[in-house]
Amino acid sequence: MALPKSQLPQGTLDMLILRVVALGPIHGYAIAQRIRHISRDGLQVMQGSLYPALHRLENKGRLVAEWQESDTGREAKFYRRTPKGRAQLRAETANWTRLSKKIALFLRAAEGETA
Amino acid sequence: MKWWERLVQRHRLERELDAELRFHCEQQVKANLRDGMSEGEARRRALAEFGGLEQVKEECRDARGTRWVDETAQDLRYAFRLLVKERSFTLVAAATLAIGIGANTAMFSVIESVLLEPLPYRDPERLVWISEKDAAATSSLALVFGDDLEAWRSRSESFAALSVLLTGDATMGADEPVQVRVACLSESLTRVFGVAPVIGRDFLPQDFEHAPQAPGLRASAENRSDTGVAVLSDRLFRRLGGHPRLLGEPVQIGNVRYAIVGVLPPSYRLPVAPSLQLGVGARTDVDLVLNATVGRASRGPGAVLGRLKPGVRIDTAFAELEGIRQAANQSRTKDETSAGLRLQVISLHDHVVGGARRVLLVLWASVGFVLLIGCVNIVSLLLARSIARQRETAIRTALGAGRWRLVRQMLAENMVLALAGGLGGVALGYAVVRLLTQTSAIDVPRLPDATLNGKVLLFSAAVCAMSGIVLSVMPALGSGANLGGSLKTSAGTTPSARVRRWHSALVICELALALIPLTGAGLMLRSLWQVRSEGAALTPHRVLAARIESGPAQSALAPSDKLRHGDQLLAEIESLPGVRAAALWSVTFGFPARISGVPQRESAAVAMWFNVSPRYREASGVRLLAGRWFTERDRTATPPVVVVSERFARSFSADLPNPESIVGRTTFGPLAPPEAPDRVAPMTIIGVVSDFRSGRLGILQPDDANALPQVFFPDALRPMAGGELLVRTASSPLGLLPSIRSIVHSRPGARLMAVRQLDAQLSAALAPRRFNTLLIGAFATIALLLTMLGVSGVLQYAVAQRTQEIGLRLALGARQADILRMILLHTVLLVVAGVAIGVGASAALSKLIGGVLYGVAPTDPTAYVAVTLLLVAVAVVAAYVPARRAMHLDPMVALRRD
Repeated sequence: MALPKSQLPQGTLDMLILRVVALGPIHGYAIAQRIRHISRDGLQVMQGSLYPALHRLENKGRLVAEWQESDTGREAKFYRRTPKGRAQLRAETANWTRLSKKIALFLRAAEGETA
Repeated sequence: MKWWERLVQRHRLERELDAELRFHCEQQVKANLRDGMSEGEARRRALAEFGGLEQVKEECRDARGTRWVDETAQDLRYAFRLLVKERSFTLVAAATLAIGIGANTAMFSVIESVLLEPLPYRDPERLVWISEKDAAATSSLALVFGDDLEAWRSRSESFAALSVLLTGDATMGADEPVQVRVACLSESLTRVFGVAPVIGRDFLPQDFEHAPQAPGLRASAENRSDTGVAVLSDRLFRRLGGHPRLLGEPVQIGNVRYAIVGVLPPSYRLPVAPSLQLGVGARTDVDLVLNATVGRASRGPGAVLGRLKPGVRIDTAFAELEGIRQAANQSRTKDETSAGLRLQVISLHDHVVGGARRVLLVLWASVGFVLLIGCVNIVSLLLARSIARQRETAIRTALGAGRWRLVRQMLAENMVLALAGGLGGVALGYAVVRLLTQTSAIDVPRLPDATLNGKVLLFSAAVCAMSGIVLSVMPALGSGANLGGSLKTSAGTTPSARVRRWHSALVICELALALIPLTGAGLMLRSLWQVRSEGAALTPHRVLAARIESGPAQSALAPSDKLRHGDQLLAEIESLPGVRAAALWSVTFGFPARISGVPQRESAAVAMWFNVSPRYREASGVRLLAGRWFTERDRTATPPVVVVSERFARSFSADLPNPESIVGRTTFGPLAPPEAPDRVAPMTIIGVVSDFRSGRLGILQPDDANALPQVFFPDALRPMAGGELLVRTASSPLGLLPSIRSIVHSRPGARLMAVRQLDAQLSAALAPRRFNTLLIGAFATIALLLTMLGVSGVLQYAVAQRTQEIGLRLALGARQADILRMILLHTVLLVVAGVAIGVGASAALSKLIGGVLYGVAPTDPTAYVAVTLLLVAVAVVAAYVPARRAMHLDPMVALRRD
């Protein structure tokens, strides 16, 4: 907890969710845990804000949900990715990679000028 | 899951959402407990990390995309409660809308069935109406020329079928003849209309090889070996017993025997005008369709129906027919040509709908204005209300309602209002349409088919929605700036200049809108008076009109014997006590008007030639304007003499400015001796009589704005065995009817038919105009009342808003009269502005109503002045109540208000 957590840029939460769900059917709490673990606690995601995003993706047909028994024996809502979700993830990942490279490039160049 | 599925399953979704979030939190609590926190701490941390449970739930609900439905339902519930609370406002507004929407629904239903619905034939768009009319096209009379038709049939490439269509009244049966409507065709029904008889057969090609001459056409020769065949209407078929055995039976029409070969489908209607002889309101449907030939030399009133080949355009067909006709004219001698006549080819739909289109559009425009005025009224009420509700709006804004949400709320209110008005309107429209379709006084073709079908209801819904939007947008514009006004405003302060300007604009708008239908009604009323006074010029009281069908024996008499028989008959009738004068007349043919000493113009009008017995003037009461009427000697004068109508004389006004100077000139008509019937003969004009719009084929059709010039010639030139009978009596003519009937029936085979009284016929002929005037008058009255209410309401509100200002003025020494003057002056300014705009708009729209008027210019100053005065008077009365209230304000009370 020494480093301050990074704020998630607008619109990237969907991408993280789709990426996590790609690994197999998973419920909301587990998604939150997974995001925390993968980012090594480095990303600040208010857990509550996960659900509106999940529901939006579900309503848009990127995810489908099903009530199943979880490993603790209780019924939980498991999300699964659809082909549409896969396509969106691919598009957004490519877009994000390109954008972050460009921004990194820009910052480096700007640093060079001020130096 | 679609959004509406999410809407329907909202309860399940809500349960699942709750379960899902609880699961999350409980998992987190368990994890926290595992990390060694105390029970309370674990729960607290889990919730904190989750971040506001209710807020997350709201966001999840938003994600469903169904929130607007909930909000709309909420808005509607609120709107409904509000409208119920303000019951009197709701009632007035909904009733106003119901009247407007109802009138528009009914009108559109009529327009849909009359103007928009296609004719009930196969490929009706390929049917055209071909006629030859006078070049000025002022007349509704159309003529058929046998040689033109023959040339078209042999040489035209554009048509799949060409047939004459002649309609008229005839007698059916030999012993007890009854009056029937007949139509004559020279082609089979299937080839022309694409509709075949349901029982029996259609006309076959061989039926037209020896078909009888079409009655009503002047023909040179008669063929005795004719074989007539007739197709019955379903109605006549039923009247005759409805048994299929009727097929093949003979039926006598006039003096010709026809064999019944078929029966038309029940709903079938031929595109024909109503019978003039039976009077207006009489059925327009045909009882019998007869086969007919049209000889080369035939000519007379009628028209040609054509079925275009697929893909041929009307103007192409016109060019072709006109070319053939011009070529035929070249080979004719000049006197025989249809010079002065112009070929007209229009779609059959246009022909059938014809004059009704204008009347309907005028009426539609009036109901449109009624609705507009109604809307303006409601807008002014809403505006007043929205200002009164400023505080409510401000509170709602302060509590976080967005501007869009406020607008939606207002929209919901007005839509509920419009819906209530619309439902009432459709019910009202239904009642009006039922009434219209059952009233026989309306001379509009196809009207009985009007219903409230899907298209009409869709239109009503659109009008309803439009009204709702107008009601929402206009007040929002009016109070726009302070929609989210501040809480600080106190209710009693003077309204902003902007709001006052809006009130003034509404009053001006209403007055201008009201003036338009009022002007229309004024002009229609003037036309009605004009027509009535012309009818009165005829002195139609105590005149009996009837038709004498002569028997075959009399028709076969030599001309001189016919004349003698006619004279004897009239003398016998005149010898009855109480009979003042008796006359026989018949309308013979149309012929281009022409006189000596004046070059014949391309635009010559067609005159109708009337065959009259000497006492016609006394019997009809037509007024002599110049010259003299026929005497006994004139019957055999050489050259023959004629009397013309004023309109005939006026058709030469370019060369003869004084219509009386036509007396003594020579005119030309097809009245040459029987040896050479196609030659024209010169005739001397001896007198001019007043126009009485004798109409096309009947004696009185006073409303025919397109009345034709007339020429009267003495019966000795074309002796009549029968014809139209006029008897002027000293007392009620019906008492003499039995005596007259027995005189007529004493002739072998003769029958008295279609008996009517002239004044009753005149009144019946005026019925459609009276009805149209009544309708537009009713709409104008509604408009006027709405305007009065609206103006009064706006001014009352304006005075209420200015209470403090008026109180201040009174306190500072203004007298009551000053206050009254101030308010009235304000009103008068508004009225002047409104009337100026209204008069301008009316004048701009006057073209529309011009075709419906009679004898009155669409810019008739009398009508405009009268209507303007009426409106000003109404506005002043409307302003008087609020002005009085302002005048009697107690300054102390007024200043302390609020």
